[in-house]
Amino acid sequence: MNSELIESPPPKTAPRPPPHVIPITSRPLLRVAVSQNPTVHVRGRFSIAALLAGCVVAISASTARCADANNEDGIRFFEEKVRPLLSAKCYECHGPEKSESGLRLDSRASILRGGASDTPAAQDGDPEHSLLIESVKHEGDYEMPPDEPLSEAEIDHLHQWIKMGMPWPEEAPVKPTLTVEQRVSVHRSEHWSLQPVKSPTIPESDTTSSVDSPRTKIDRLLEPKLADAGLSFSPVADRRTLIRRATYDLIGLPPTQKQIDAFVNDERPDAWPRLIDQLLDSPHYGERWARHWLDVARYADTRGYSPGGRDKRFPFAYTYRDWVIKAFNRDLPYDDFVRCQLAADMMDSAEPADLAALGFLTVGRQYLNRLDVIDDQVDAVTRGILGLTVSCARCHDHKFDAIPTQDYYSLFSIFENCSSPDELPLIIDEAEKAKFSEFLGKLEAEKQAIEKRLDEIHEQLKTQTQEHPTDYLARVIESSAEREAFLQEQDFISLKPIEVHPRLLNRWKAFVNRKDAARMKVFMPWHELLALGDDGFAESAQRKIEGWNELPAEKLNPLVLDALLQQPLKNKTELARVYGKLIHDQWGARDEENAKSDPSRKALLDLLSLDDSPLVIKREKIREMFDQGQRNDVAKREGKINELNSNAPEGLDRAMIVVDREHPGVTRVMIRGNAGRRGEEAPRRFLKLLSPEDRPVFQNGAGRLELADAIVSKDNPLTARVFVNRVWMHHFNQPLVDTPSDFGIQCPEPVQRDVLDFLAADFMQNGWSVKRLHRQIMLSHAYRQSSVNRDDCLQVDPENRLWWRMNRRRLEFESFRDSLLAVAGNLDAKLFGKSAPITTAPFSHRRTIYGTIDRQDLPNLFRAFDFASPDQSVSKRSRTIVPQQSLFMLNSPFAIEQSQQLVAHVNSESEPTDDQRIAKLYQTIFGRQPTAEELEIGKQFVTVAEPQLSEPESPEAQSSETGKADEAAQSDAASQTPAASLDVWTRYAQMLLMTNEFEFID
Amino acid sequence: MNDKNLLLPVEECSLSRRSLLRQCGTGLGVLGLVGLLGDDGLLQTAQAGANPMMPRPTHFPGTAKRVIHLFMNGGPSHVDTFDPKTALQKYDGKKLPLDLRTERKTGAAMASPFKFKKYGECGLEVSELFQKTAEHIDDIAVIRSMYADAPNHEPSLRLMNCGESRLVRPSMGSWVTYGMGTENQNLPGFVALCPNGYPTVGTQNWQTAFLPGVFQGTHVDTRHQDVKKLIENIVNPHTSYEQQKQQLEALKKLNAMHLDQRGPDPALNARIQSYELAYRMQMEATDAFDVSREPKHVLEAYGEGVQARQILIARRLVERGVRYVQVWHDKGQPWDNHDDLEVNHRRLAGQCDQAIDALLNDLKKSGLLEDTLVIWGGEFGRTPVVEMPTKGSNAGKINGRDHNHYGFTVWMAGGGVKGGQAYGATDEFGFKAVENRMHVHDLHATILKLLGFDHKRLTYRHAGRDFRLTDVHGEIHEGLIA
Repeated sequence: MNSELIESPPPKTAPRPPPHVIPITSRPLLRVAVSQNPTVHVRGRFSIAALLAGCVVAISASTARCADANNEDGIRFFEEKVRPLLSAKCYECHGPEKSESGLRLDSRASILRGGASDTPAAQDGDPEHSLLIESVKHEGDYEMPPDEPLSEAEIDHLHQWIKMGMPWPEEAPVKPTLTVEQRVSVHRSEHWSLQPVKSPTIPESDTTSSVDSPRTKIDRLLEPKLADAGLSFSPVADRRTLIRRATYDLIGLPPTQKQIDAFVNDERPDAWPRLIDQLLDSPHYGERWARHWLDVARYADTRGYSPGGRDKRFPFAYTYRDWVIKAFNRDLPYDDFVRCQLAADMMDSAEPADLAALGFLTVGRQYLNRLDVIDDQVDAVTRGILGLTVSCARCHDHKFDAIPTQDYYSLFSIFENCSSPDELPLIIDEAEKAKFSEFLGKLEAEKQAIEKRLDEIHEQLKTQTQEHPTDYLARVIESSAEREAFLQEQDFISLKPIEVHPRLLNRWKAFVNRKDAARMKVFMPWHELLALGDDGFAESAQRKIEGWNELPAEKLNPLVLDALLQQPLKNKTELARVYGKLIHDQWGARDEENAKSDPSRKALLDLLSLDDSPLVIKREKIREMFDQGQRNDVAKREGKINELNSNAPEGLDRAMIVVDREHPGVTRVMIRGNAGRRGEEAPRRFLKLLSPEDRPVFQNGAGRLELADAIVSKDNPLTARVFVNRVWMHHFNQPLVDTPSDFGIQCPEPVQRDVLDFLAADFMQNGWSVKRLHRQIMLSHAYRQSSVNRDDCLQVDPENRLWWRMNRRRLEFESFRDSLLAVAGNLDAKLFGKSAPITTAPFSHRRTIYGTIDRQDLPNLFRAFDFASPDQSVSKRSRTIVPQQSLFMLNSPFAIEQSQQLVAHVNSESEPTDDQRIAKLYQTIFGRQPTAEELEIGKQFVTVAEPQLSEPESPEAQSSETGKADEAAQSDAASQTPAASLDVWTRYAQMLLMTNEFEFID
Repeated sequence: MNDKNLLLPVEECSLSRRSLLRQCGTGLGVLGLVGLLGDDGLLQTAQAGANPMMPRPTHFPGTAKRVIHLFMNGGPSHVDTFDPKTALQKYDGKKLPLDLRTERKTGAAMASPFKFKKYGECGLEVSELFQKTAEHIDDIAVIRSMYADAPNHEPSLRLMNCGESRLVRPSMGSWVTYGMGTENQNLPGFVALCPNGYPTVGTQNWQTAFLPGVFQGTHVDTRHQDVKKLIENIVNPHTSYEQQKQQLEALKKLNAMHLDQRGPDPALNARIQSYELAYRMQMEATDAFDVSREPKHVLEAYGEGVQARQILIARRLVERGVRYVQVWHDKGQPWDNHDDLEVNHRRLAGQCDQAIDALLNDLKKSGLLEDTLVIWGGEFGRTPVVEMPTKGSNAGKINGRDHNHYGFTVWMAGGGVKGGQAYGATDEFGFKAVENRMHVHDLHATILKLLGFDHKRLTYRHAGRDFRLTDVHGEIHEGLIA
């Protein structure tokens, strides 16, 4: 679009061009008239050669257009020159796969319809007024294609083609692209997950419920689908299996032999619900379930890549992790759980300690580009809580879901208008605080030191800019390496190039080059004189200056004229001398008596005192003025504070909060995600897809609490469904909805949808109680089924989508490591607190959830065991079985340490015989007695292996079976002092820890 | 604005669950793979498990089966190595008639202090820095028209490795092992060799991001000469292999009884097998990394020092079926010579030139070069102009070059690459790629093609969309393919 049109936006109702160019009314008439005449007499005159020669003179614009464009030559021209061009250069963004800004160029109709701006992309027959031509010529608002401009010839082809009336062969019409409004209403009425949550009717159970296995509502909802497929539930698992399953599920640790025996022998009818309650009451329950949520919350203890080797730790991320643990333990209703994490600071009901919940927004990767940080926040909130992939709409409208880019930026705006404060608030009470006075003093001293340094920098910059206006102005005229040599020879230049502060120079440039009226009173001569040619500058300058003699003070400040007249200018650089001296002297004398009364001086000083004046350096904005060296220096000092905080005494908790901007700003859509190209405003409000007709704009600060309220509104069909699905997934190792973070249009209705809806409705009706939800699920027969395979069922439903059995699962990383510590008697049951590295010796014995998660350098151990990537919200962990996991058990010092500790509890005094020792190990590790066969295997192991125990490994003793590799072992053995061999019992215990029985839950 | 009918069917993905099940029946390895296809995807099953590293067919037969990427991190100067520019002699010390914005202040043109000479039948010129490598020039395609997006190390490293400058995305090595598994189950499929620690941006260079963790590159600190220190948990210092065998035999018996009670379960089976694998891996890995097993003449051919050692390790790894090996010159960004370029480039090239020569010789002799793609290059090149002093940024010696993402050189050899050619060109000074311009995305698309992948179809469903290495970009440059 040309500049004229930028000022007056294109009319929404009438298409361009304006009526005076081509009478709109006449156009259809012309077309009709011509199409009524099938023997178009101009047809023969079209030849490609003629067209290519630009020979359109023969055909007047209107006749060409009115000619039936679809003549053979026109079509051929289109197929040969235009379609390939559109396809190669335009369709990537404006074709069948993508329609940026709503524009598609793959059909004649869609070109004429245009894109989101409601402007046709081409005016039939009128290339001069066609947006397409304007855009490819880079003459208007759009510069297309953005990467590489079209060649002259290509532009010419498009031009001709439009002029010809855009010939296009008959094609099946492209299905019209629905507007977002239309898609919202279609999706809302058609897509299952967007239907209001309604509890389904619960069918009567056909199966006679035995006392041992009562059918719950969940079972009655599951059973019909099973029956339809000719399947049935599996029988209830035995009690030993049940307690192991429940204990791992709820607290992530193995049950002890004592606990198992108690449950197995509990004859009370409510033994099972009692067990569940008991586990839900355990403080370890929160540790287990918090970890599931931390996958969603992409929790980590480091910020990610920190440039310049700065401290990458988040010293207080753990307070968020601890808050989540406590929230689960106290059964914080899920709606408040969500509210706290988005807006604890704005909730009346929240305690100061709840501020830590805001870590949900702040523990993500700290990309260097803040836009990416905000995107990650939008992503975590929308995928994590809503089950919608809103971030897909960052660069273009969502491909599948009715989420326009504008909605993305509405949410984006909420997070753009809040940020982490420099100092995080303490969330401990005053009495507690007193205990840390020494440390807090030290911290304060460091902070003071930084403030002092900032004061110094402030003073330095002030002095420099006020003392050296000439030096800066000389570089405003031109700054380059070559010019410096010349400058250094001038007597009025005092700063060396290395002393010129880049930020100050930028300020001077910007100040001088802004051409408003007040400024031009001072700088008009500057600009006019600089515009003169270098040849004969002195003379022409003098003439100009003399010509200004007549100008009134309102046009030119007399002080400037006087200064210019004082000494003739030899070259342009001397302008810097004149202006520099004037500014320097006037500023230096600004406190003089008549500085205020003399109108010329006052006008000049007023100008020099403006906020953007380079003489005005604001202390509070000093950081914006840093050069590289200053930035590094202050960053280093601040890094020290981060380090101090990371090593702060345990208990000095701070919350990783966000604070809203005092005056939230307006966010505009970034076209194609490009911050430099802004589109329409995106008011802070919720997604259209999930909002009532009259979608309110958020009023309260950045709008976080309003967002949270909208998310947990009972009218929102997604939030409860998404969460109960996650809980179900962790209980069954398989969700009801396969894509737990994407309930959008691509997500098919789950087979057992009724169960999902029942649980979601029940969840909301009962105060969003998570513990109640666990009970609901775990009391069902479905949950208590055996996991043993049934061949007939496997044939029908190999993936167990109907839940004919419980799924067997491998321990997750946390449960696995915690279990090793637990059976070895090493587990440190302490709750909460700072993270500790768990992969390096001496090994921490804390539960894995307290292990340091360094997202920038996640230890291999985490990766090898399918730990959730801490960089993005994770909905499901991958589940792999790779040799690295086995190597960890075979060789890692950690595994060896746990095996040794385990054996240390089994000594010859309490267990004098091999049988007894083996039995003790079985009880500790598996919570049961060994079978006769197992006992035999064990005894064989310890006796056969025994002889080798006492003597160090000798190379000769090894079999030659392993061939070459054994040579390797020998040479290894030879190359270092052999480490002490392990006790045979340790090796035996280690082997038991490698078994599938230990690693899998039935 | 797209509506439903534009939804790509899942079958489009070559690794879709359905097609896998169709192709491969119910083999264990396959089921395991199925368990991997998409964290958000519809593809995880309770039975999932098994080894996702099993080799599997690519979209079409590729000419390259494995990759060695020699990464000159920091940005080697193309005008001093593989892209000679006589115009710089002419302009030496003078301002160039073109002005591109550089990361830091730059000044006049700086002629290359190195001598160039023609090599091979193709007669391409290479500088004395890589005079030994240059002997293979007839097998090498020198891409002189590379360009990237930004003149900074971090974004450019991420771009070169992961196809994205800012966000967390899987690295090329992860994509490749995800796409085709690896040939040797006793070794990691993707190995990143780097002495003394990590390059700039660390493990992000070989990250898996949202792909399953197993596809992450395994970093090996080649500073260590002791094989046991190279790979985590590869050796048990207390237990002999014989003792481990006893453990595994007992384990097998116990696991068999456990399995018996429960009926067939691929995951249980897979884990049983993974112990056998791990046992063998201990030996194979120690063997693969132990260059002392090479005969003397081979060691001599590679030369002294850590570069020689790690490039030799790279050869041993691909010989044993490792899919993707990266060889990083050193931690940080050693090739980043803002000062003293002549001295430093001479030293750095001197450390690896001979070993690269020996590597290419060996690969050629064994025939492996035919389907092994060797890539050489950094994250960008360097300016043809000299860098000016900037406080806190350089030592102010005015004898080095700044970063240059407008144009730089990467070369490739083997694996179906058309050697003996200079592909594309920079302008007459070597500032900007002008002919056959090749963005990093294009390089990736071309590399994937050589490996047998359509870069648009090697995708992974995550967070509601199909991701790929080249995002929405990537043009295959057929001129590079023999």
